[in-house]
Amino acid sequence: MCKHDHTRRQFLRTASFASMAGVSASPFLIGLNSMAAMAQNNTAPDYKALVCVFLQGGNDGHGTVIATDPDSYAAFVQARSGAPGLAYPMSELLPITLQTPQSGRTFALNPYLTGVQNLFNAGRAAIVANTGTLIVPATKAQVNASSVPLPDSLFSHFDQTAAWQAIASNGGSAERVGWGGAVADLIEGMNMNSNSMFTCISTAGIALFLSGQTSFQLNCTPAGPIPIGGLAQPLFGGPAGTNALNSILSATEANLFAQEYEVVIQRSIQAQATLATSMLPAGAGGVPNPTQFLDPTSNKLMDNPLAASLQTVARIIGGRAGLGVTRQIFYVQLGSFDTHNNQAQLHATLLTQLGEALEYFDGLMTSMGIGNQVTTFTASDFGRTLTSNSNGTDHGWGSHHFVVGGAVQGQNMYGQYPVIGVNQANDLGAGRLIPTTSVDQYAGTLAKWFGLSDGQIRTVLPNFGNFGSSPYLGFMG
Amino acid sequence: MRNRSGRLYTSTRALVFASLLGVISLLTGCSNFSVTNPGYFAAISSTATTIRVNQQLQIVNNAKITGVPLTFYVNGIAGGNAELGTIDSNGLYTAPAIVPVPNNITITSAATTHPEYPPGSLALGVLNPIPILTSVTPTGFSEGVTTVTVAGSQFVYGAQISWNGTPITTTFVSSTQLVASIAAPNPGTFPLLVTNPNPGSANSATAQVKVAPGQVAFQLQPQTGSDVRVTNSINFGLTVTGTNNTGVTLAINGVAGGNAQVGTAVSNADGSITYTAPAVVPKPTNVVQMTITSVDNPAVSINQNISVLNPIPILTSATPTTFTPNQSATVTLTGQDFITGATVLMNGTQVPTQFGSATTLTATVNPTESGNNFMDLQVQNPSPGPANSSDLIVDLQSTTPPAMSLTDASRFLQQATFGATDADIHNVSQNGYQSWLNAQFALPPTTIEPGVEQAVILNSLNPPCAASDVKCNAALFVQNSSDENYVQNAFWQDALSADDELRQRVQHALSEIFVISGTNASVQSMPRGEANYYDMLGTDAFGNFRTLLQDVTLNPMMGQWLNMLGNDKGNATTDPDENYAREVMQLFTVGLYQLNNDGTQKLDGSGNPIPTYSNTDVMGMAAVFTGFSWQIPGDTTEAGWSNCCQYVGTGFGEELLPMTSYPDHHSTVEKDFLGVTIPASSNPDPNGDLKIALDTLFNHPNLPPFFCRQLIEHLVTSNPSPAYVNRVATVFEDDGTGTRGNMQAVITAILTDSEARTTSAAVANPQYGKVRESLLRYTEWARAFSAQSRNGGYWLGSTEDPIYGLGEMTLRSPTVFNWFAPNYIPSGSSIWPTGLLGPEFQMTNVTTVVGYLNYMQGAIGANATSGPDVFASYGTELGLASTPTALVDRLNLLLMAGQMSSTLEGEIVSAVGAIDIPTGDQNAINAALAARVQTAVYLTLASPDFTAQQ
Repeated sequence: MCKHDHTRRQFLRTASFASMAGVSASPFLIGLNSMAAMAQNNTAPDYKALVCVFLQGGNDGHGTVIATDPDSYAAFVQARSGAPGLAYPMSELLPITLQTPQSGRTFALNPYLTGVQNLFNAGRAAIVANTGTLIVPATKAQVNASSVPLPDSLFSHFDQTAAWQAIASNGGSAERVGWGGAVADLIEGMNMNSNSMFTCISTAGIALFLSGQTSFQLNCTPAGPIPIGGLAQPLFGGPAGTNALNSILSATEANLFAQEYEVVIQRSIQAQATLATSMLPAGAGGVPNPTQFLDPTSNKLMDNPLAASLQTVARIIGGRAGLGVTRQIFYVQLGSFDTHNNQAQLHATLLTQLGEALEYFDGLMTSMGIGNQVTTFTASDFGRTLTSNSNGTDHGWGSHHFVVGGAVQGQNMYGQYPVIGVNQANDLGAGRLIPTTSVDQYAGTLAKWFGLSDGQIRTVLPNFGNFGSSPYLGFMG
Repeated sequence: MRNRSGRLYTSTRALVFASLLGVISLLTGCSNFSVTNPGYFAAISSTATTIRVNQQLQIVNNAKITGVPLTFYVNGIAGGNAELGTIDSNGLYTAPAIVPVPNNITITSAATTHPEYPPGSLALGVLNPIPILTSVTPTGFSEGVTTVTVAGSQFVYGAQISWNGTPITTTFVSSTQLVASIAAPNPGTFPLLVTNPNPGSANSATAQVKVAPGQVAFQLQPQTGSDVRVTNSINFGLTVTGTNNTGVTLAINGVAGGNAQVGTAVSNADGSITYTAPAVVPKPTNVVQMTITSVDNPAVSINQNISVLNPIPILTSATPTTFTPNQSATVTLTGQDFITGATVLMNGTQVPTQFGSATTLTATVNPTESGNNFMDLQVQNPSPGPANSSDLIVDLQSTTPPAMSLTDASRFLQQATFGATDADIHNVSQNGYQSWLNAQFALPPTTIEPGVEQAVILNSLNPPCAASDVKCNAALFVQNSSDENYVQNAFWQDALSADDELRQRVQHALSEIFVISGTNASVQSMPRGEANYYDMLGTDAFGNFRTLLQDVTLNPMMGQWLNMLGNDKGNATTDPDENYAREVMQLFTVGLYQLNNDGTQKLDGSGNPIPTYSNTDVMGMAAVFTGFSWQIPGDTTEAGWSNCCQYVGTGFGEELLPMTSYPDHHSTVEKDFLGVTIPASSNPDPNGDLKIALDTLFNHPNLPPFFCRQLIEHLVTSNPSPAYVNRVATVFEDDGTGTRGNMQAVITAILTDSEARTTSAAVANPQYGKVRESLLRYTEWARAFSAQSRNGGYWLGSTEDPIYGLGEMTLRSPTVFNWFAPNYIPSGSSIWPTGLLGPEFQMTNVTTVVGYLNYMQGAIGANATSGPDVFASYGTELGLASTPTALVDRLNLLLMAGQMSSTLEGEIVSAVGAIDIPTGDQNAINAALAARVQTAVYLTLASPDFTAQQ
């Protein structure tokens, strides 16, 4: 199994700093310095951003953060022995030491998460254990008896994705407003952004997470904002066509669907005009390109799609002075984590991408001088079973997640890591974990750091109060 | 080599100098001659001042006194020695074998009996020998880098081989052997010689060494086939191996570079070759031969046949435009690119035609009374590459009134096809919906798998596989991730040109419900399998839903996509994979919540929706879907359980057969699902269990409303009324003959329902209709204008890129939830507060709306010689371009079923009219007319008006 050299990663990180610090004539350095200066000259200098990294398909939390005390580890190996490559040898796991010990156990990360290990050890990453969708706290007996309200359609991708992203009061696909969008609605109401168009940005198509009641989301790809050819240049015969197109794309529409379609087009035109001048370029003179990652399965260097998405985010963040924003919420996605099959290979590749991308992005934010002002957090439809089918795992519920950034009280684990083994208190069967921390608590802790008041948080997250008198988790200090 | 007589040498030198003076005085006749004069007794001279090793030189005795014997010294050593050379008593000096250091020696002579007399002396330089080159091994070699051994003699350490005048690094092996590495990039004959170093550097004789050309090999890769229409170009990739000189010369039919008659060929900077066809098909044969010859080795060449095809005719107008049945009439047709031998088609049948010119034909038509009020005229250019123009519809006076208006017919066809032509619209208008539906139901399906197989074989870079070579066939068909574009091109060919339009539209909708995708590596590696899955949906689209459900469940592509293939029964540590069990319920049959027959959700006592199934049901059903894997006919060893790719070859393969059952791997535990219990058993019965499970799903009360509502959403409107859903679901349950699941009946019910057909109600309701997904907008354009493939292969590939494509492609959605979910509501929009659904908005974002506009701009602007492979000639539209209102009216009918707002119409008419039509130059006129048409078409397709299908 391919194990990345910890020191090599360190080297790459410091090398990139060195290259920026060394050559005084580097245009990137000059650009970033002036960007940082410009940002500080903003009327509202405390810029903050949240970045949601959604692991689409259900990331296997059991295989991501592993308890390595003898009992836990033995149970882990026993449970995972049914599928090849999932019972990681102890020697390959990446040990981590918590500042605040938990339940007398030791922990390690998946062998392919060197990037996260680096961040964790530097105090810039924290683990939030056994987090998942809940309406109220629930025990196994209550779940089996259906005696408490539960999110709808547990174990369904579509619905649990919606539950994570929309904090359904009733769960599932009934809700249409994502909590990121709801936060954005409030932010815009607080006038923290002079241009609300750039509050919510997705690099993965339309995300429920960013869908607000009044705010809407833009999406942006690594290619940046694309102009409409027919408007940018004369259309076929000449300027008459272009003028007509302009008119037609802003005409009054009677049909509801035509009307809404036109709204999207107009947004695109406005956004492109601003982003084209503000968004930093990729590569030299802008945001450095990410390195390729070494795919453990094919042993080839390949492009890291999550790093590319995060680079796009960084390019927009770097251009924030021209966007009129002090608060932004981003959504990026990495998939497919639905590893029913071939989990050993697929998960290795995905976690390599995840770890390296998180480390790369954190480095970018630090170099922009806002390393404490951007917080990245993972999310996923659900975790997975502890026991396996013959080649992978099936849908679970609670899972472990990472929060990354300078403002994070890192090198620690929040929430309760479950007891590993069959028929444990939180095991609904086959190792499907009943979450002991809710997505509401996770989201509320992030939202508080982001600037919402307690009252506003309880509006965005109606079930927040179901989780104790102080549901905040403490990972943001 | 030290000179032991160094000191003596120095003083001897002084003597030499002195003696020289003495000699001079002697010659000048100075009379002071005495025995003490130097040279008197021992003067010596020689004919040379240098000598090569081993050579001999006779020292001349120039003493004045003869008969005095002399003793000779070399560097003061009597007789010399081996290092400095020896000299005998007669003064014969033999140079040493190796040049001494320093190489100047002094020979001195002294009178033997009078050693006190001044000696004679002379200096000699000893030089390296002249090298002798005997042989070069190898005597000749191919271009490239070769290690060469030069044999000969008299090689001295430091000798250098020169190749083609340039010294090269040389390894000294011995005095008879040198070795060097020679880089010879070009063939030819080159001089090689050896040079010994100083002192006395000298060259050997020159050997002429022949360098032969490398083993040049060509690989020619047609990029879009080898058929090309006149004036068009096609490209061939060319790979040259075996030489650094990759230059080629090109000839067409033996003519270097080609000419205006046979077409021309040029090499591009990247090594590819572009052939441009002539303006007219060459005679006597339309097949030209392109010969590619290596510059490096002109003996190496390959040939490629290219078929030059006639152009596609463009029909722009006809005179007259009204005809009477059973009356013969002469019609004059105007257009472009008519070829001698072109025929006019009346309703698809050839009629007597007279060729006028490239722009006019006349024909005699005698239409029969057929109940149709229109006639469809086309021009057909002859072979090679016969092609029809688009249709020109002309009026035929008829006694039978049309069944409906043209706009209603157009609106119907927008719901029922990928897009309709003028002829289709007239057909439905005249004959009614049912007649069209009946004809469509009777058409056999067009299939794409055979064509995909052919394309994969033809375009393989490897030699054809022997039938028995399983490894070769497996690599070609089931381990081949590079050929998915043939599936895509085949899809486009059928979607854009085949006649089974209704089946294709339903097939496409089914592919958005029963999703598989080439984004799954296993599916992508089996292009025939992917194509075959799609064909299965098409075949079953007009059958029974129960058959469709079974065929989907057992298809190995679906098996790989949702993990049913190879799903093993559970044991102590593993459970069966639940993926297919969950999705077959959630997405394919019953959905998440219990439904009334009208598609509305049932609610419990507290007003909450009621789940259709629980996780227990999923686990129970997952146990049913165990023990199915690859089918290998005749196999008794269970090899197919875990091992794909053993039964594969041209025309057959595991990936094309339904999965088969492996009882040993089928779960025998009790299985509970949806109120059904299959008891535990010691006898595994995979097929029996499967039948029970699929029957249960098929008979579930949720299925009719769940499935029918989705199909309505894909075809007609995003928000059907519950009553509409109920009417269709009722037909699903019983088609009138007691049969459940009759797809034809369901399709008919959907398309003929008043809620689909009543135009006035639809148009008056701003909440009626749906956003056309981008792929359907594209196909509407392509079919309306009879778009054709320039090279015949519909080389569009995947259009999934959101920036450079349509943001959508069949069989390529990123997840099993298709490009948009059936219940999606766009939040933050004006639709959201209404509670209405807008599924297609899930793929509508600021990137994809721009991607669509830019892609369509490129597609619309393509023509016979440039742009994407699929282009439209806009025959009839060109004929209307001089009258913008008539042009836009036509687009309104074809693309928007007459629903274009007057504002939009005004905008487009203005923009079109602003493009001037020049006079004089016909090419400029044609270009202006084309620009008018393209502008009008683009503005229509770009308008948000068009985006909504009402």
